[in-house]
Amino acid sequence: MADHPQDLKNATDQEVVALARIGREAAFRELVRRYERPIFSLIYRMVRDRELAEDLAQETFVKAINAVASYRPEYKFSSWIFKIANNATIDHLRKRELSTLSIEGSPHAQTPEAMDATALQLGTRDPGPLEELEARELGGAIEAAIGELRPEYRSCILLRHVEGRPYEEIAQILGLPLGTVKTYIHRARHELRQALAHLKE
Amino acid sequence: MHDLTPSHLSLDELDAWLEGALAPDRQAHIETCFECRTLTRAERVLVRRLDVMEHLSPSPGFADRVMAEVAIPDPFALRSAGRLWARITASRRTMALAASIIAVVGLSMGGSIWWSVSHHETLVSLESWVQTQAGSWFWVGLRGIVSNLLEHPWYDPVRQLLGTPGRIALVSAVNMMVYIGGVLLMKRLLASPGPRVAHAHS
Repeated sequence: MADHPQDLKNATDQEVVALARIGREAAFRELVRRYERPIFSLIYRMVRDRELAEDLAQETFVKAINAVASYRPEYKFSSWIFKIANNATIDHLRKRELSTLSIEGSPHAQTPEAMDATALQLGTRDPGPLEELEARELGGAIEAAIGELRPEYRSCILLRHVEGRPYEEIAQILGLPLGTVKTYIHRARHELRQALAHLKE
Repeated sequence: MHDLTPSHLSLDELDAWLEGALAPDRQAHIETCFECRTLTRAERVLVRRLDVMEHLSPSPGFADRVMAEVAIPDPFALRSAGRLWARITASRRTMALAASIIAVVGLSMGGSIWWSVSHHETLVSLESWVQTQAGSWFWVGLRGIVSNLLEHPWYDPVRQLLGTPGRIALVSAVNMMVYIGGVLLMKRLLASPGPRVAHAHS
């Protein structure tokens, strides 16, 4: 049984979940380590507010950990946790009616400092000034265009192109028919093509 | 009259083209159709832009904050009193069931205590009879087992094998090693991996 942290890193999701189900704290931490970035990225790009995204990501992991006994191992763990994250985010968006957002930061931010604190931070490498400007312009334009999509289109396009999930898994995560998922993704790409048409290739 | 112009790419064909799995005749159509060529070019540019979007990181200490919020489930723990009470009071049926169980258990216990107190002498004589009978059955059983062992063909070789303290120690050591090996094997079998799944991007 994978007890050592290094063993946990090499274990499959199912093996780690099996250890989590018998109460191993290290296994829970490993699941958080594996999924904190994908889950946070998905939620952030849905709500575009860093603080809120962290709260929803935390809520997602807390729900998943508390419900790990009810997880059915025949499904992929990634699908299960993405489903929890998507449901939490969509519920929040419905409550707050937060469907279109600003790349510059949270629409609820009251001060310039709050806008900066909640603004999207792109990339981790260190490009040159011109490259940085172009990348920021391009990345910002894509992020902004995604932010303008309907929430259900946004979930689909992010799961497909940022997370690289197949259509079938997206349908399972979102609880939608396969044909609907394909239609949403094509419509989302159509809207994004139009929104980004002014950018150079 | 039939229209001989091939139709434009469908959405599924567009996906197939992005994955490099479009049929050759449809691929040839793209070369000759301005609309499809423009669409596929724009689609490829968009998908490339989407595919390079990076994962974002939550602020440091995120995992610690998550772990501080959860109680690690103990699979051997009893249900908490609060959850048990919530289940009992969930409906009239569960309340009636719980009341019935409490009544049956309470009446049984009360009846048992009352009978024990009022029939003390009967209980003492019953205890004495059980002790006598149990002692008798024990010795009869032990005698039967021993005589049965003595009649087995392997009894003499085993007796010779364990004839000296050194041999007994050796056989005990071998037995212990076999036992430990069995436990380790069971542990490994119980830890055998489930179906492999892909990891999330890190």
